[in-house]
Amino acid sequence: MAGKGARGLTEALRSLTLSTQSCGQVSSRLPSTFSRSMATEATLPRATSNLTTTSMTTPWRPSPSVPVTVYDFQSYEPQRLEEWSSKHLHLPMRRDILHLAVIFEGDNTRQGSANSKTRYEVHGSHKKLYRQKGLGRARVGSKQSPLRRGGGKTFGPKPRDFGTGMNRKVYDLAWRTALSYRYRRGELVVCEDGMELELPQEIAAMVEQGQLRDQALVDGFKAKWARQVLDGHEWGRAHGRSTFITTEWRENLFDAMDLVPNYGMALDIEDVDIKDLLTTGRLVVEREALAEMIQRHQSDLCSKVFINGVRPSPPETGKVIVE
Amino acid sequence: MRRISRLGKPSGARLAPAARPLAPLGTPRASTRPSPTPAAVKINTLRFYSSRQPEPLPASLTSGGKSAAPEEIVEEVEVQQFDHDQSQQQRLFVPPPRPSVAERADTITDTLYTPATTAEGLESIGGLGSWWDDPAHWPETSDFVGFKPKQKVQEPVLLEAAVRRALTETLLMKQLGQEEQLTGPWGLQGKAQHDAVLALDVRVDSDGNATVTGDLHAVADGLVVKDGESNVDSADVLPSTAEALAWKSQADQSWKGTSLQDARLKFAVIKRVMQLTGQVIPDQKLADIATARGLLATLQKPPKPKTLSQEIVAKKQDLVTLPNVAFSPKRVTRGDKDQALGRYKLIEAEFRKRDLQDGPLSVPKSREKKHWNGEA
Repeated sequence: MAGKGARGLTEALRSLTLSTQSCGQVSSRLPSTFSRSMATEATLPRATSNLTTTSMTTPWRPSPSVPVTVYDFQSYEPQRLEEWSSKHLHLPMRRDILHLAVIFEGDNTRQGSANSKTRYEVHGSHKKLYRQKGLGRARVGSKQSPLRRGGGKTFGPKPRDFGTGMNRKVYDLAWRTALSYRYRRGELVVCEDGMELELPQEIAAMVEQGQLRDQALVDGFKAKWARQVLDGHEWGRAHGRSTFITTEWRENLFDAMDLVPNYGMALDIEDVDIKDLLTTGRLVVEREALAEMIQRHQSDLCSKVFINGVRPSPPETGKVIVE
Repeated sequence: MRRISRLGKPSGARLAPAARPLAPLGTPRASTRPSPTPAAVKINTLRFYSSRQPEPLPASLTSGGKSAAPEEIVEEVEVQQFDHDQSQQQRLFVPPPRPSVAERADTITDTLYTPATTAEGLESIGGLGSWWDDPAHWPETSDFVGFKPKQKVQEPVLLEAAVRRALTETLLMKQLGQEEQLTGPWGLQGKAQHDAVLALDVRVDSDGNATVTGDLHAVADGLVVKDGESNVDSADVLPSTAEALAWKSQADQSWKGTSLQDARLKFAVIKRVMQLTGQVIPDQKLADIATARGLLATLQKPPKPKTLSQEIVAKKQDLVTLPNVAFSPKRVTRGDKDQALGRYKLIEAEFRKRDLQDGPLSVPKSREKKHWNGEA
């Protein structure tokens, strides 16, 4: 009897599993129409769909790769088309993991240096202020008592580490989920390596020869030029600001973005964290920086364990299709 | 007329494959593109050339103006003037003149001269922070223009004309065997070229393969810009809406069935459309575009409204036109109600009399409380 019950349960579970059967089988088991008890006028949903039989029987498989256009930075001219792994740039959205990661980063960024003195750390004599009895006043101990002005703090803050932990693989997944989120929304712009704000030749020459001696003059030019470039590409203030990510510090780009904070920010790859990836309207990333970020954050994709003497390789990515 | 590049390095020059290895994560390149010739480099910077003369120097910089100045200073001013005149022909940006230093009071030999002891009466001219805001120093012709045109084309019929043009140009380049040219930047020719391209016949077979017939070479010659050829302003690249409508009413629509499964063809078409219209196709939509019709639908889809009120005005006119519903694009505050009644002016006047409130009445309650308390 017990065996029969277990078999019945297994069968029931199997019939519920979607992966063991095609969509056609599932739809055939569903009732053809739903009954509605409420007296509404809306048309009832139909169980039969317009899909052809072939699309219903062949299971949907996500594409293993997604296209990425690489642009020239300043002109925004498309230069080539590449293919990146879906496991890098097309992960499903996981709001919960992103939330965990941002909180984790926030915890670990806290300085935790708030400090107050207890009664034992406050400077001064610990002598009893006046005698216990006979004065008609309230009894007192030392002047460092927490009850007195200038006394110690009872349960005050002490320097401590607010840092929390997060599994490395989950954090790496969150990183790629953030990039995927940007990609899906069309907010990931990949540019050629060596991304730098290039000033017009005439001005660049003047700066090099020291003809523009006033720093306000150089800064004014860089700021206006950066505003024009960003507005021209619809990356500026009116379009939600942009975060530029490069492999190293680039003088003109970083200076200019510091001068126009309303238009976005520029970050070195070492300074980027998940919160930065999610902050502004779009990411403008150097190709090399994107590759580096992914390479650093794919521990959940490439195991450290050797299988048959071979370490599993990470998914292939960054293949050039059109050039 | 001499043309001066506005960018330090043109995009084409930075594309030299040997100098730019891919990042280590990538696999080796499938194909290598030949390094651009000097002529090709010039082509790449099409939009970075100005076709107009830079404006002359402002009057304040050109006039000598200091008749009473000592001879030495006059000479110095003249030298500066000469520098400016010499370079004026090529200048896109006008930097401030070199600072001149006044003569020291103890070296002046003129006996009538008495040094000033206060700064009274001197004009304050400020620093150089806003120097470039003056259009005389940074004319509009020197503004940055990227690969995209300044104005984005959003009219459906113009987009259709642009896609047809881009598709025809790409197909004919492919047909003529100029595969290498497909992904490179093309010249921006005027409306004559546009009409010539649209006059070509595109025939599509049942598999979506298209063939272009007509005088292909003439059009292809216009695409590949030769050294020293002029660049047409992007405003003239596409026809007017009326012309595009007239074209659409007569045109055969079968070209929309052209297959874009070939990645190289699709890339070239999308790049050309971006150059003509300023419309960028996001990467995640690329995979779904299989035909020219799909591309057109993606381009013509209106952008998502930014605010709820925009959406209601655009899509739910039945709500807006209801007789018993008032629609306001912003929250209706007490100030707005008073304004509608004509009471607002009176309230403002009363406030002003008591020196209580300077700003609008529609402020949050927390701030309003401050006003009541007579705080700023």
